[in-house]
Amino acid sequence: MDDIDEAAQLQSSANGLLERMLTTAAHRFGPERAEELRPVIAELAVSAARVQLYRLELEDRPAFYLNAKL
Amino acid sequence: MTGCEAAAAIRQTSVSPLELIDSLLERIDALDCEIGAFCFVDRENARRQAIQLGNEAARGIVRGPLHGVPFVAKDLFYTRGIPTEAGSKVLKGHTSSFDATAVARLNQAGAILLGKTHTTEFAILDPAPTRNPWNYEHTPGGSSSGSAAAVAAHMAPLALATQTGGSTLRPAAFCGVVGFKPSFGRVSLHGVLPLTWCMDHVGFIARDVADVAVALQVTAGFDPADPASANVDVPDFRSLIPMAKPPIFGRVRHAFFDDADPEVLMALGEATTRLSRSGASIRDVRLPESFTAIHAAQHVAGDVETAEVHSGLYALYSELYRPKAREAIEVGFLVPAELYLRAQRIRQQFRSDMNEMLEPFDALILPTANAPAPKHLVSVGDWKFQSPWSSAGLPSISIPCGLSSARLPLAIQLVGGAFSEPSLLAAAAWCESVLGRLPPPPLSASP
Repeated sequence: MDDIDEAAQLQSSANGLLERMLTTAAHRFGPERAEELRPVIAELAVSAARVQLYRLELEDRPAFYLNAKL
Repeated sequence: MTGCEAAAAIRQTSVSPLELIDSLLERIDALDCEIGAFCFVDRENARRQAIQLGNEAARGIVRGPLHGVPFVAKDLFYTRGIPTEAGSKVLKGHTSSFDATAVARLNQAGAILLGKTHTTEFAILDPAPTRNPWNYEHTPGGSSSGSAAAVAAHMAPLALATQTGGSTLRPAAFCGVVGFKPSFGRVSLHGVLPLTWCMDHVGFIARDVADVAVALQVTAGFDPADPASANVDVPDFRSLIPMAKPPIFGRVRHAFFDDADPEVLMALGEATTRLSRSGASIRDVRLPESFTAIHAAQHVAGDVETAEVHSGLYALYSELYRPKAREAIEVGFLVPAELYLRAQRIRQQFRSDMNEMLEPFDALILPTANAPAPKHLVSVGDWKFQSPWSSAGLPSISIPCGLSSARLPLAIQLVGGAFSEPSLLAAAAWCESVLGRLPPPPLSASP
């Protein structure tokens, strides 16, 4: 049940991001190019959705250059 | 002859650098029209330097541990006076005025640049015109396609490569040679055309572990010209090889890796059995929860940075990019900013989780790639088994472990904690001594 909920949530999130990125693509590259890019954007939207749904804590900071400590 | 063997022979003056260079040039002339590893052979300069270094060796002068040893560099490394085109029409005729730090440091150690090797366009996905020396119908992998093929075909003992996802280890595995990617920041990226800023690494390809250890030895160390360069000690990596006692490995148990080709899993099983019989301790480990999001995080962060890296050139020359590079750049512009930042937070968490998980081990052990080199030249294989460690900036190394039923190389991958190169290289050398090396690929010209 949890897996099904998770998959549905991922799909829903990915669909939303796909529409958002297609709109940006149409604005930036034109509607025809946006449609050509649809399969690649769809793949990226799934990754973006996974990133969006992954649970992080407030103290989790971003990494840009990983060796910052040292 | 490996790089270390050649260096020893040159020091003893039993071989001259010029003899070595000429034999490699002869081999390149015989083979590279079929293999297509080189985009530029620096014939005259290499011979000129070889004469100079040979004269010095005859007088007992040795500049460094690679005195007189030839190397090649992927065509993303700046090389003074020699074109650096990144496999792209966008940079056709581009020549830099300085050497990348890695190239300069190899030169300072006495190594001789023999030429530049093909890459996929800008290290993205449009393939290089290179074939796998083991079977010309198969991809050599990428993006460091030419570097791996040149070393595998004995056209050079050592190659500079790069890795953002799996671009050093995967081609090395597909071509039956050793591929090594140090920790993020260990080797300067100054003068290397970027694919991303946050996940690019310099890598090395050679025919044994000792050669990649020497290459690391002479190129590692802080470089103020690279803002990502790590200011950490550079131990004597070579003196730690071979390992005094058998290593302790964590064998990755994760459903993700069960998707590998059955031959790959069988080869891993056989390799771990042999290592275990020789004294290695192998304990099953499960990857942290953050692993489930790391490929997605790399995809998102990587595409955004690639888009920004290319924003200037793309604005001027978009029509000159090949299809996959153009797509990757264009979609990178579309990612919402907050998701780029979340991806970077996931990367940091995964790195932290992995460093903690790796503490009791010398290295993780897993297959380098999910399958042997695919039979086509239109893609460069799957990067998913190599990319998590690139994303986390952890050192990783691929060593050959056998041949598939189609006589294509198979390999195991070892992954260490951040800046654990001494123990990782020692463990890899120990594995190599147990598993042995592959024979050379079945090519017509002899080394």
